[in-house]
Amino acid sequence: MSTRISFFDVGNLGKVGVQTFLKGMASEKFSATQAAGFLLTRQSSQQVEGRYVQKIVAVESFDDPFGKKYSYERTVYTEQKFILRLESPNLVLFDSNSAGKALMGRLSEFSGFRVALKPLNWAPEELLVSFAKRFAPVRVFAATVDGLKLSPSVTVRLCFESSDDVLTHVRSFLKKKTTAFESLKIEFSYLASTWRCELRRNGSIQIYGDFDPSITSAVLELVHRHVVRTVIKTPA
Amino acid sequence: MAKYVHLSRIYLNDQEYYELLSPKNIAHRDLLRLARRRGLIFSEKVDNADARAQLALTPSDWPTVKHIFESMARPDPEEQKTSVHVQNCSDKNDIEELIRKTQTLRAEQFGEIYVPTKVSPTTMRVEVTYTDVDYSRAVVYQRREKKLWVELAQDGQTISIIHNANDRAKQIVETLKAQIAVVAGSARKDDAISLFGITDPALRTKFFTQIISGIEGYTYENTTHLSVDQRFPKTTEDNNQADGESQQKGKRKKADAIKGMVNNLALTGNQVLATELYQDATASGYYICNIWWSCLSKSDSSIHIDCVAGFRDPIKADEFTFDVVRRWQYHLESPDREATIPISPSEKRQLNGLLESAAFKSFEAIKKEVTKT
Repeated sequence: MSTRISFFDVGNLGKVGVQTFLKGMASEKFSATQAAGFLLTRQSSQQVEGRYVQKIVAVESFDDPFGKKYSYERTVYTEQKFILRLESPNLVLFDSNSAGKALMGRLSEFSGFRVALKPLNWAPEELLVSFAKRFAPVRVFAATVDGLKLSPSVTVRLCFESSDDVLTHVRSFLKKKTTAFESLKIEFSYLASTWRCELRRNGSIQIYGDFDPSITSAVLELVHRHVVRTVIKTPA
Repeated sequence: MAKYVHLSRIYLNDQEYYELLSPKNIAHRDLLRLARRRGLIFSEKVDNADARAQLALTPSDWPTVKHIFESMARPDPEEQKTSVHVQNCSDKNDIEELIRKTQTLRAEQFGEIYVPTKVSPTTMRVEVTYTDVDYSRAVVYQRREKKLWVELAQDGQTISIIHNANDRAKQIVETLKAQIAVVAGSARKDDAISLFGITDPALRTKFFTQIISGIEGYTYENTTHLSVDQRFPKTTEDNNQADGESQQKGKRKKADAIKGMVNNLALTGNQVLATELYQDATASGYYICNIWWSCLSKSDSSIHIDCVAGFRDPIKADEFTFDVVRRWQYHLESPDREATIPISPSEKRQLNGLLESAAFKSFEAIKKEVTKT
């Protein structure tokens, strides 16, 4: 079990306001008779937390060995858990799936097509510094290096794993070559439990283990601080 | 299926026949079979160009050319639709009779074949087969047999016509409209969507955003392709003003550095309307002129439809075109894969009707806003 958290910035959210989205979501509340809609768990003027649910009914049929035809209805619910908030990152998706695309379409329409949804991306090693500050000690037990050029025609992808800190081994192996980490897998302790996480360059974090609200909110808070700090450091 | 047509009075020379026999038109095995029939026996391993060169020296005959044309017939990409609502029509109009009159006037003169079908008591659909001639192409490929559809629906004093957005269909519709009898004491009024006089980019964009979220029974899901432009048609006032100003500004312009100008942008991807690039473009005066998007059925969220809407001339914006391109669903087993669901002609007609009414609704709203301002 794991939870993948994807982060997005919503341009113009300040101007449009969370209330606009709340209105739209309230008008499309999911019920037994609806094929798709929103189920909200928490809402305020600053933040909305909920799920976008889609109900898909398919008729499946099969033939028995005697040539008799049978058919039955199969209902599948797909849901996209999300948090929309004024503070950055504005949109957080949990285990994004096909309903996530539809959710983004709904958000775009609610705003009158005035918002820009931009997936975040970051350098995993920079995010690691933030993790180390918050959850020290942090151990990096695996790393993926992508786009390492050996020659103009050869590019390699390397995966490292170690029982102790892998970063020292990566540095000694790659020596002076400039590298960009695709992902870092880390291990740390929080509230008397040990957690494992994967920090990816594409702006997502995967938390291994069963879903836990306390570690999730701690990670969200950390990412918020990291993003604010990075934006202040590198103004547009 | 659009197939090439060859006039029997035109003989193909060696070069034209050689090109007609190219591998994109006729498979190597078929070429050898054809050669055998003409008395030329080749090994299977013979070079295709050599076999064609030998065969091209034999005189071309009409049945062979016709056979090649039939084998290379491919379905044309479906054309977008456009529509017009004719107002103030008399109750005496019989749409079946209108089609018959148009057929009499045009069929022989323009070489058109009419196949009318009654869809419902108030709706008729006519399939027209015609030969499209393109003199800019090589003689062999100049003539193509094509089909177009015109659909007429009568509702009280209004006759709605939906047809393919091409010049031939427009001519047929003009002939049809000329046959329509109007209510005594009133003139015929044609309602068609045109944003020609609207020079506010926000309003032009709003027209499209209202359509994509206004299809009855469907919710907007995703925009996959978008064209934006920032030019507007020049009016006579603009031209006069420009003449006067150009003399004064002429010298200054020469001194100015040459600046780049992007007139239009095409954006392709997912959620294109929610990208920073599009938001920046709209903020700097660009408007939507063509859009491809998908919608989700409100009654069955497994059904998606892909639609397209735009203007034939994006700047003039005087001829609105639209179409429902595809219906699809995600595979239940692998939700990232899309599976196309075939659309029957009647379903397509219904979906196009929904799209058209959303477009007219949006157009009416835009007209009201323009009148207010």
